[in-house]
Amino acid sequence: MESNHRNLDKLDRYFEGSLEDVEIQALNEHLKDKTFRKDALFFDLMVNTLKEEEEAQLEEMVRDVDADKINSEIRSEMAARLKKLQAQEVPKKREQSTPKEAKVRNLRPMRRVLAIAASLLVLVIAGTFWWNSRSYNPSELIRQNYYAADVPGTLSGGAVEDEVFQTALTAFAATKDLGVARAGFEQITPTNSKYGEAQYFLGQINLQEEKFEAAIRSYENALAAESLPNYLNQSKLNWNLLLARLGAGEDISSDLNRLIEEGNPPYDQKAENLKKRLK
Amino acid sequence: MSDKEFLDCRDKFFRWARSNWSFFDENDVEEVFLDAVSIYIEKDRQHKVNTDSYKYIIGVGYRKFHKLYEAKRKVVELKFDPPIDEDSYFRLKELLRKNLNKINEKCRALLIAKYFYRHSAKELMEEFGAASVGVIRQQQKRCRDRLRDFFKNEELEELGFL
Repeated sequence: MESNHRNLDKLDRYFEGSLEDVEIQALNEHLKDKTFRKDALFFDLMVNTLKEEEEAQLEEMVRDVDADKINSEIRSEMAARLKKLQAQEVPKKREQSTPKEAKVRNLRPMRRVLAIAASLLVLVIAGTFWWNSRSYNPSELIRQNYYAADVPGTLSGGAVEDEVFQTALTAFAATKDLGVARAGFEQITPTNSKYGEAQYFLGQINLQEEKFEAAIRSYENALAAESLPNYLNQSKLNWNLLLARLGAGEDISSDLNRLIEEGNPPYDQKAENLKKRLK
Repeated sequence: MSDKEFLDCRDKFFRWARSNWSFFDENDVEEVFLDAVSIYIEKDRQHKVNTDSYKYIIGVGYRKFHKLYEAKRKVVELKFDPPIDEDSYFRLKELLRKNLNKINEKCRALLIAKYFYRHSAKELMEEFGAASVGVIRQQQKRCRDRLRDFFKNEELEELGFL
């Protein structure tokens, strides 16, 4: 028997090097499960064997190279080149994030041009609305289709050890300070009973911020947690996870078909609508 | 080597170094990169390179890192509890090595690019000509499953792993 796909994805991400420390702790805990242990062993062997094979090829490729014998002239040339390119990279990034200053011009002689531009603008806006209503734009589709977070009935009254969680939850639900909320939820470790909830809220934050890969990880951690409180609707969570996968560029058509076939409202209808928009 | 290729090699080299030689700081990695890229340029001018530039540069970098700090090298491993017996692990690795030759070259290259060179899904998509990130993910999964098919569970059990 094979572990479920979430656990396999988690192993995959571990060996990609993209798991956070808290997730690695949770993964090591999970190794007590016999099926998971078997899959983990396979992954471990696969990655280490691939690594050894490729390293042997690299060794062979540079067998005749004396790695200590370096042409100092070329090296200086390369160091200068790297420095120059790195210096160019920084302003380029800054340029991308800073809007250019507008040039000030006299409007009178440009009246005719402006009239044409305005007409074109109207056409472009109308066209955009028309296009959006019928074309596939993942971010837009996700914004239109995702479920807002479920929150507990009260935001206070937790135990002292849950203070970090409560602060994060208040920031998320009341003050809408997602930065503070994220920082708090990220402090909740897998051994904490609130871990599943914290990962759920991190999933919501990541989805809103269009960090789809991170949203997938957080939602999956929430689902893999030992228990989730009743106020968290798991069907909604699974739906948002599906949207995160869509945002990350995955093909979710088979999942949508399954939801349609299962016929559980409102997910069957939502899946049907989404499927039409994706066509 | 164009500027774009130079920066691309630098990014790939740093990503590989961070995952395999994480105890080196960024300055050390940059020094080794400069040594490696200098050797590559010299050999390329002599027409002695017949592989991708980044692979050659990583090859030289591997050699340098290896020579310097083999003992401290970070090995990717999970904490199996109870731990896995070394002899059995070695035997299984040999078995897997044989099975690696049974999967097609593209699959093998894809798995190596992903797990050894740590190429991102977008890079893999461009490298292997896939239509989307989703498609490349599915290809990776198929390749992994193929290898897994050759590596039956019974073999793990026979060797007393489970």
